[in-house]
Amino acid sequence: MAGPGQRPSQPGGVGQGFARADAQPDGTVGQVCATCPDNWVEAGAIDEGTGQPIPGLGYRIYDLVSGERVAQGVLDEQGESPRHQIPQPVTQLYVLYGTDAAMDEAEAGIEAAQRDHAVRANAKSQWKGFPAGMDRAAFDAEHERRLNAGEMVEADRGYFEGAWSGARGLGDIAAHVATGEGLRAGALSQYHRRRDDAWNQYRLVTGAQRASVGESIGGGADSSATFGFSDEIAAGLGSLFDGRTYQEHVAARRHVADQRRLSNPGAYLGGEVLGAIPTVFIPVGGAAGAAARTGQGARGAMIAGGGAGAVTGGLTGAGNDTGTPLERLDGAALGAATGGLGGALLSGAGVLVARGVAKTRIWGRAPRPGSLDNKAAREWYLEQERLIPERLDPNAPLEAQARQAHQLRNAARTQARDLMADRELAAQLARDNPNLTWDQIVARTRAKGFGGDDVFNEIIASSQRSRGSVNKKLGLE
Amino acid sequence: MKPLVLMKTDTGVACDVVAAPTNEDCRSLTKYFEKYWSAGVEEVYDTGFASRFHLSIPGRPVLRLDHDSQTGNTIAVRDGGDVEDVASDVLADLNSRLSE
Repeated sequence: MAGPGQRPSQPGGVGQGFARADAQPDGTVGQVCATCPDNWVEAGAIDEGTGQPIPGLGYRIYDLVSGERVAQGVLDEQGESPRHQIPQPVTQLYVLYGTDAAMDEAEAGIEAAQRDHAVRANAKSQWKGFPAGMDRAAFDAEHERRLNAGEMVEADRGYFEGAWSGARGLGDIAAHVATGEGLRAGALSQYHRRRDDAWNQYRLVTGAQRASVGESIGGGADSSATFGFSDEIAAGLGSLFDGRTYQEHVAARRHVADQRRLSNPGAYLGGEVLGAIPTVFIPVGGAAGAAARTGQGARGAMIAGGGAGAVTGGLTGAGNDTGTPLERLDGAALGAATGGLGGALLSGAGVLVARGVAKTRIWGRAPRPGSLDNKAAREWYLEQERLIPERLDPNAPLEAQARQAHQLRNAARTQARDLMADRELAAQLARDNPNLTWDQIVARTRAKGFGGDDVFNEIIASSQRSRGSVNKKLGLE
Repeated sequence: MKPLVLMKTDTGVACDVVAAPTNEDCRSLTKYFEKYWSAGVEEVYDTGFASRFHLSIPGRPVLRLDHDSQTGNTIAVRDGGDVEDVASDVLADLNSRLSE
């Protein structure tokens, strides 16, 4: 928020606003406005490319914690909103800026991200004695060890899931007998299938993965077909066959159901990215596709063709695409027609997401591509990298933290590239040093000789090592 | 963990300096080459997330030190080839130091 005598639209005011937003720690709900008679928020937007406010731009303001929309409107001629009264407890907010269609897409993606975050937050530290963070080989070995010790560890299933699983098991055995492979092969096949089920549930419960669409639908079907009592029915049956109490069965099954409910089959938008970068520009698929259909360029059509993931495509794109945001959105067409990134927002080709706190005007600051020399870009990037550790969710499973670190690093790489004034070098680096996918980075880390959890530790730690030790080892101190 | 790992690339064999992966380590490695191998160091670019230095050790083909914030620091022969063929003594010394 701007201080006395400073217009919020002036650079100093914007800087103050972002500094104040950045200074807010997570989880400050209730602190800022606990003693305030009222609570409010305002929004504004500036195109840094032109230095001008962006009038006529739609905005929606959300509670960062609950995800609920608390205000919306269209920015006035000064690129500013009126003051919106908001509920007392709301202190941390984010704002979407863009057309209605673009914001609809972004909203759906952010909801997916929040569900993803919720799955991780709801994760358990262990599943049936298997600690969180095991890789598949370790899980299988432990599963077999316990089997040899007389304990078959199985996924908890709902009423219909259990019936379906039993039918599949009989089918497995019958098929192997019919093909002459015998009962033993059938039993082994069934064991592997059940261990796969156990592995998937272990990953879900410990937050290492979300439920698949089918699992979520299956869980819902189970619940509705048994009038909401599927957990209790299955728990009652389950308690007859292992040492857990009925209540323990209910709790375990409800947790699985919660994880499935919280899971989202849609696109992945890292909430941590939203929380980490004060303002981020996200191209959105449908709107970009519409731009292409109206003849705004072949590149737009390419984006539309690959943009089923909408916001995810945008943010993943922010990690993987080449060129500046405008270049990624057929900047020649959009830029010329509308005069900058603000124009891209007004044409519906993307949204800005800005973070802030209550009782301030939250400014969406469209990043200005090409504004930093290499030295400044280096400093900017290394600062972002330095901040990665504190932006990780320490309560998330190790793999989830590694994924967060990977995603944050990719987002910072792309932003640094966008900010570089040397566009020729930026293009070269986009080509020669592309952002790697998660699978690529895991494979590369394994190739260095890391295995098991060390893969994830290495991905997290690669920007955190003490520098003094290397200098000393190299004989430089 | 091995401090150095050799890996095949499109242009030959490079050395991944696993034990010194950061951008700052990359700068430290250039100083190491200057101090112990009398290398001339040319900064091609350093943007933090991606850096490239050319290292000219007298009497040898020019080496290339690359940093990528996702994958760490690698040493290769600038014009292609096997880095072990032209700098095995350098790699042995680095391996020894970084193993400590």
